[in-house]
Amino acid sequence: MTDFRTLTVVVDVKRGAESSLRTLVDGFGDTIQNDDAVIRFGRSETIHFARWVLIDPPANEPSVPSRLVFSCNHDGPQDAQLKQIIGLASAALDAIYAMCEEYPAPGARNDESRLQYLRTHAAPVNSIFIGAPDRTLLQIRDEARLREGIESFLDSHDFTGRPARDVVKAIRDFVFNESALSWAREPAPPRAVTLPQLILFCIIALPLVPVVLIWLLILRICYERVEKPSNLLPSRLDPALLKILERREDIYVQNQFSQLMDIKAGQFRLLTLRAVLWTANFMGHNLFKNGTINSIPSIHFYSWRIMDGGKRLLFLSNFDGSWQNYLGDFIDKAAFGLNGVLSNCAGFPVTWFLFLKGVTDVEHYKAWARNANIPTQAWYTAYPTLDVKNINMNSTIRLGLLKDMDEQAAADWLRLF
Amino acid sequence: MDKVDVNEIQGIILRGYGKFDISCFVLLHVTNAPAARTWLGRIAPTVNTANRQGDYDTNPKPHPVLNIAFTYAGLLALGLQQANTRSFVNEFREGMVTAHRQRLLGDVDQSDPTLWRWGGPKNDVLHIMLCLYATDQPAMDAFRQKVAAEFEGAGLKVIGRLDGLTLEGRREHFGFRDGIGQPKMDGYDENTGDPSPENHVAPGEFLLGYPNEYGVYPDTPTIAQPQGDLNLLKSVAAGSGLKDLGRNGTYFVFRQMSQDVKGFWSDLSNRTRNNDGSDNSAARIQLASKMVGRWPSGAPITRYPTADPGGLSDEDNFGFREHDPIGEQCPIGSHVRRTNPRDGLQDSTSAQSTKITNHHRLLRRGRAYGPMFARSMHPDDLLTAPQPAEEVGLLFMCFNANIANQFDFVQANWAGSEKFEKFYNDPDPLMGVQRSSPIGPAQFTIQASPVRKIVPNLKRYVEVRGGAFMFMPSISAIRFLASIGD
Repeated sequence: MTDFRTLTVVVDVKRGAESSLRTLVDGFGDTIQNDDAVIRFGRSETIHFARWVLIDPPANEPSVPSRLVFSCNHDGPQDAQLKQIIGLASAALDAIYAMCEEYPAPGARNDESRLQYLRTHAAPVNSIFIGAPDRTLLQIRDEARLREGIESFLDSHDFTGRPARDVVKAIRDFVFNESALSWAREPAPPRAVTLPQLILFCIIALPLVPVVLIWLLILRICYERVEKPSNLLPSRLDPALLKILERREDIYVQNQFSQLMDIKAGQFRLLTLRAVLWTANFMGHNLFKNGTINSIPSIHFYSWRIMDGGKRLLFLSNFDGSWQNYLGDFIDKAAFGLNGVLSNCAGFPVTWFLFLKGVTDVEHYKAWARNANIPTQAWYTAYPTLDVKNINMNSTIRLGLLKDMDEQAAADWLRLF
Repeated sequence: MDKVDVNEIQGIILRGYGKFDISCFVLLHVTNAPAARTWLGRIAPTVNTANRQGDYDTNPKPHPVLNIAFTYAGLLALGLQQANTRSFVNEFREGMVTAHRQRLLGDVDQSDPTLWRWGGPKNDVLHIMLCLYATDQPAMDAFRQKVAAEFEGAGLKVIGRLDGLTLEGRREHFGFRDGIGQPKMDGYDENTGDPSPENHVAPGEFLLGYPNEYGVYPDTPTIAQPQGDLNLLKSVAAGSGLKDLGRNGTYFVFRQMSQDVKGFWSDLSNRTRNNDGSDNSAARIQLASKMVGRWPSGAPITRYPTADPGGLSDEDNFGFREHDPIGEQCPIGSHVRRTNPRDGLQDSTSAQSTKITNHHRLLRRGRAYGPMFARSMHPDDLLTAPQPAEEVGLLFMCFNANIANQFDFVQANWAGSEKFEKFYNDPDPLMGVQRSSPIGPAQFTIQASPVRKIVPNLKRYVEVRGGAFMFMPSISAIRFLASIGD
């Protein structure tokens, strides 16, 4: 079974180096998708997405240093991934992290000390979601080629009037006899089975229901009624921020989104946030296994990370389509979950009992969300032409090759093309 | 639902002016702000409203009418202070031409704004657009001259003119009936007994100052720095206490798109020939209709899958979910199904799909331009008729309260996206195809049993020749703009 990991490395930036670091990483970002890039992630067979994001200190706490976050969605164990990254980008890593605290001095830099540094600064995340779980990068690429092969086969044959099962048989014969595709004769690696965890979750969660209800009541009376939303409107967003953000948007099928929010003061809100993130993480791993959250089919990976001792929340997401599409999907289909997390952050539109209203105040919500958006200096995607739906459909196509199908099932499977 | 204020709203927004076959769009640049404001005050009472009473409805040949819209540069040029333009949404302020929006809208290659005839970075800056409508050409000529006579000493320079017309059977140049499938607006279009209540949309989707489909007021421009006669403006409906410049106005999207009629029909002819190499009229028209999603008559192909019932049709009371869920009649990637998915979005329930669709509706008010290829507008004649000397195309116009979530969204995520629904490389076959894409040559999928048919290597038949985002204010807001120098 494949273990998808989200690797996050967080380091402090040296005082005074912030703007040169921003320029440097921005420059790497301009070329990172190129074959001849300094950062040769294109040669990796395990990195799905990667990014560097610079985080400014909180507005009222100049003593906190700027931070540089590196985040990467990859296959396999963390140490192996770090070693590979060092092999692909040691010069760039040296240039970047020399501007950060605690990086080995020039004389002391070698692959071992670099690894030690990155490993030391690797930081956990609170909650992740994966749109195409249990699939390695190589599997995603193989299955894309499999589909393309079958599409070409279908294009060069006329199956008019033939029963669906005949067509399926013809496809199987083609695939299993085509040397480049015959690997598909082997079953796909098994997907994680999560039923036991779900049952366990329900057993534990059930007695907690009264606690949660009381909790929500306190939240409603003592917090939601008195907290102030920012009431920011889209027209009042800073045009300079929008320009910077848009520079790296809508270039590929996917987009990235980095968002930094202030968590509301007090332990009650922080605890609420931790509980919601834990639950979201659990559901992401065990419930939403088909590439969708509440039928939102456009998220590859996202992660939530509480940082600065519970003061700020960092959200990193890789998704399909435009920003408007992404937010619109969430508002239309997953307002509940979005409110549950984000209403614990300052300025969010007013919610009722944690989960209601909130994002449906759509103009204020969109402005708030965009305002919390921070520029991603460098972003890499391993499959810039595939969306989550494509990846999951390719897997479904492959699974069908080894399934027994009656005429109806065969007809349904053929509709995937 | 309260009625919308028809005496305040400009007529073209809500009425469409079906009786006016001839239209003319005069592009103006302000050279002298005080003189232009005086002119604006003079013409304000002549701007036609959405009030249905009067000449237009009773007279078979109503008098020509005028509507007016402004670009962001135009509002500044008239003297609206920066502090007061700041509250217009970013999309309007930055306009249709930015590097980012070029990617969103697909305005690249031959459609690159540097090649545009108007609205682009190399053209004179558009400030004001006058939209003139008349029943026939002589009436329009007389009206245009009368309007132009007012330009004398008005501090205006005419920088362009676009002439629109209604083609036979209200078709666009490829030969398909156009302008069907419009949303109905609560507070204006009567809802009583309408067979398709799901087609009724909240007024705030198309007008500022009213609640939208989410039940909130769209972002509206307000006055931050007092200037002009503020008594003309009401306070913001959402309750901020500021004077509302946007109320009863809306955003106006205009794109001039040339159409390669010969290219379109010859390409489809080549793709559908008989075995002996001769043109197959029925197959050619069927393929084109599959791409459009309606037959040339306008009849929806999801209802009439085998042949065009003929005549002219505005049939709009249908969904996709029940009888055509997988697109075997009306392909999922067809133009009408992707720009108005109705109840048919694949990853949603019917109700959810309708709800999502109604967050992205447009009031379309387009007109054709350029001479008809053939009087009959029949595809067979369009294929064989000689190429007219002049370019032909569509003056695409639409109104929406939220450019980002409506026009931009539909163009970027539904029409232009190769990944719409579950596709890999299927953009809108009519208006979304790019000459080169990193994903590879564009295709069109026709869902069928036992397997789909692919129309490969789609060509681009439409190019953008100009465009702008404009603001079409209320009658009071026009009078306010005329007063801002006082």
